[in-house]
Amino acid sequence: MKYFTHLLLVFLISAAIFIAPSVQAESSVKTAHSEVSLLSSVTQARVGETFEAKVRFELEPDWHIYWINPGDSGLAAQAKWDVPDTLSVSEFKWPTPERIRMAGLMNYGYVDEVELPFNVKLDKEHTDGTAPIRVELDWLVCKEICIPESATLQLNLPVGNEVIVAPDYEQVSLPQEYSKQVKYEIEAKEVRIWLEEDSAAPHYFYPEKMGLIQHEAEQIVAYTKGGYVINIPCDEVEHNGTLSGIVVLENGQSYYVNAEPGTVEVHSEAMNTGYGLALFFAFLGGMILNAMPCVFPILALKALSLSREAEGNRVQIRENGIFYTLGILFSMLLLGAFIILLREAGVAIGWGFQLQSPLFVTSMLLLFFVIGLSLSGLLNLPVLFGDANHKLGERDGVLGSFLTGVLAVLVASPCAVPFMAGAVGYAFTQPAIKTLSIMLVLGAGLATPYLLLSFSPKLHGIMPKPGSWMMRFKELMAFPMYASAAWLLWVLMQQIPLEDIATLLCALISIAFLLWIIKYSSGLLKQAARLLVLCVLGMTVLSIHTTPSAEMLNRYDAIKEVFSAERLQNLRAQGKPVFVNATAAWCITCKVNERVALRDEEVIARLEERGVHYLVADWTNEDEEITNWLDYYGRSGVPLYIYYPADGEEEIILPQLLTRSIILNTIP
Amino acid sequence: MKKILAFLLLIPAISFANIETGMPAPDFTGTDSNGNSVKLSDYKGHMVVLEWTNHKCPFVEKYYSEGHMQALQEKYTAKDVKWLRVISSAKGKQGHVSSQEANALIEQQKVNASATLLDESGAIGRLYGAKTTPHMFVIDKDGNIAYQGAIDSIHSTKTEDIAKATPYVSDALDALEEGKMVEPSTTAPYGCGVKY
Repeated sequence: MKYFTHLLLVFLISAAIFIAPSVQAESSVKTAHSEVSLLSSVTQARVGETFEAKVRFELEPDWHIYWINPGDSGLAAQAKWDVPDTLSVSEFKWPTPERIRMAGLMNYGYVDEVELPFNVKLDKEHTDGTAPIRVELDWLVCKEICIPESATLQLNLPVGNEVIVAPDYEQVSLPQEYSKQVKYEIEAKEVRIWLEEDSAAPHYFYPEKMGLIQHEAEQIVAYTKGGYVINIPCDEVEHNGTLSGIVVLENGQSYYVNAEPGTVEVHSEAMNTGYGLALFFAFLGGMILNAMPCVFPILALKALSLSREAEGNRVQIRENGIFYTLGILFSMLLLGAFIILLREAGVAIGWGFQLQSPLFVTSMLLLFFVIGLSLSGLLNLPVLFGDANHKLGERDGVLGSFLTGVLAVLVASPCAVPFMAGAVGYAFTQPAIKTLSIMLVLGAGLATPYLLLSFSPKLHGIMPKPGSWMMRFKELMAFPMYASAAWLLWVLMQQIPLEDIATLLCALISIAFLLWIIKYSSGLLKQAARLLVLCVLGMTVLSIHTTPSAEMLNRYDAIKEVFSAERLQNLRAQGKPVFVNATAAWCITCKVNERVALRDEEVIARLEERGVHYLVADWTNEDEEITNWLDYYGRSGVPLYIYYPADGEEEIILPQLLTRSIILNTIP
Repeated sequence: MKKILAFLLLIPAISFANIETGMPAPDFTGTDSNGNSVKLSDYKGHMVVLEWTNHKCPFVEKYYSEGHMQALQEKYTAKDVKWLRVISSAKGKQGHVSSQEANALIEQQKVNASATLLDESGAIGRLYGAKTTPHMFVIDKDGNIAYQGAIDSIHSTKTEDIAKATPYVSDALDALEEGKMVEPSTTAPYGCGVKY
């Protein structure tokens, strides 16, 4: 008996010796809704080395725990470490969370399971044979209701001369550190984050700070040069220093970002209608465009030509339909490419950019006016609607249809602006492929009505039979064109000075007159008139193109001073240089001089630099002082330009036809 | 597309008011656990505390299990502050109680509030944008929102953290009484989500 108990004791002690130092590579606790484990990447550690470990949460199906920023409610898991002084444990590294929505509240967390890795460093001074790691975990696990749970986990790792890697330890997949530039700005209840990204659009930003953004709000992403901007609504909040969080891109990649404070532009075109929705609206918009006054005449008359051809070749009609569509798609592609080029060049364009250019508006205005005149009968433009005089297969061939398609896009562009802002505005904020596809879909929508007509024999049937009413209809179609031209004129009036509008109106009248001459003349006169029309068109466009910019007009207005005899005397007495411009609204020479020589960058700069006082004597209405002043110089009318140099030197009278160089030479 | 439609459908269900500190507190009429009608504007001239609660939420239990919330309620109602608890849990959801259950809990937990409003439609909750339980609002005597947000500064479910935390609500009430600025006047609330 004694021998037996002795043996038992020996057995027990040796068992204890064998079992005790056995590697406890994991420690696991099960609670009501979760199972948490502490896992190490090594089964044996070495002093002076760092290794990874992790806490794994396995939850009941559909239950979740929270991210470092839980969102509107909830609480992130918290750890209280109990380790010897020679051990240091890092903070948890949090994997990308997911959005968990519950009755209007937004939470960020992990459903079903998550692993939170951390690093452990063993100082060189660690002498113990084991490295004990103990942690008190508290977490909130929720499905619809939330239960706080806690557990204490412990791991006792042996320390030896070499590091032994745990064979079945899997590294936790974490977001990468973002290497490109990130900036943020908080302004007007919006957090804007700019990323220098080129691979894919960002999808969502998870901020680490709780209560910064409105967690449940849509985050709107816009494409800008060299990157993307994420717009997130927020309340009146402030944040100083770096803004940290996780950005998830559309290709699934996620990154830890640390955004520095900076300036991030507001993007009014920022749309998050979603690509599919944008395509849908683009198509719909394209179809609706057919009804707009700009496009409708083109379409209607092209459709009319179908009724003439109804008796003709079915195949040819379809061909024309296809080429018309191709013309449209080709033009849309060009337009799209042009937009992309401008955007890559850094030009900040938005939809409607064409209308911001007075040159474009004027050109379209002239085009609409000429088309209107043509429809009114003053001019023949066969490319529009197949002239009754021409044989089938001549102008109405595939080339004609193609060109009509191009024309349709051309006239559609200004009309498209007001109501296509949604889908096309979105297109502007997206990378090249999406922009082009949206433009193409818009073109498809534009082409569809006519395409359908050309393909459907039944529709041919309902087209009314040709007759004299066609002529009247054609003339009627002129009026939507004039209306469009009038709208563009209104736009132009906000963009260029009134004098240039007057010039434009004169140009329009001249063109109409010249076209009338062309219609009823022949031979040399006709050719001369044709040439003149081109000249007028060219000159109008040129003058609009060289019209002074709003900025320059402002500068010019800033240096203008009102003329009075007393003021002139005072300035002269002070020895200041003065330039007097006697003008009147009804004086055309004066206006031309102003336009050509005075409202000029260099001249204004020279006047500013030399401190010359620019006095404008407006003689539009009776003014005794100005009359007297003119009289003094033996003049009875305007214009009169006089430069009084500084220090009371003798004045210089400039010629009545001014140029820029005359002024620059006079004022040193 | 479906996501967008679904989201659009949710909009009426989830529209939250945007309450700004300093703004007048929106008026409402609620029914308390005794069937009486309670109107916020009736309390003009008094300071009012709105406390969103859910007796099963661990964050609420943190403050009720050892009488901390009840002590706050007693202290301030004695100073003539009107303390209104609001239960916005929808029927069938956690925290929803009938008037009898509410009164039973009030007695059992020795609640010292002025009234407990049963807001099962969630109308008052949405009016104030109440997101968590607890979510606290302090309204000054002129009827403006003086403080909104968390009850204190330590986000946890542990009662022992109450002593270590900054008591935002009592600080706000004290500041108002002394005529001082309420600082901070807005904090991010923490707790369980309101079960609308």
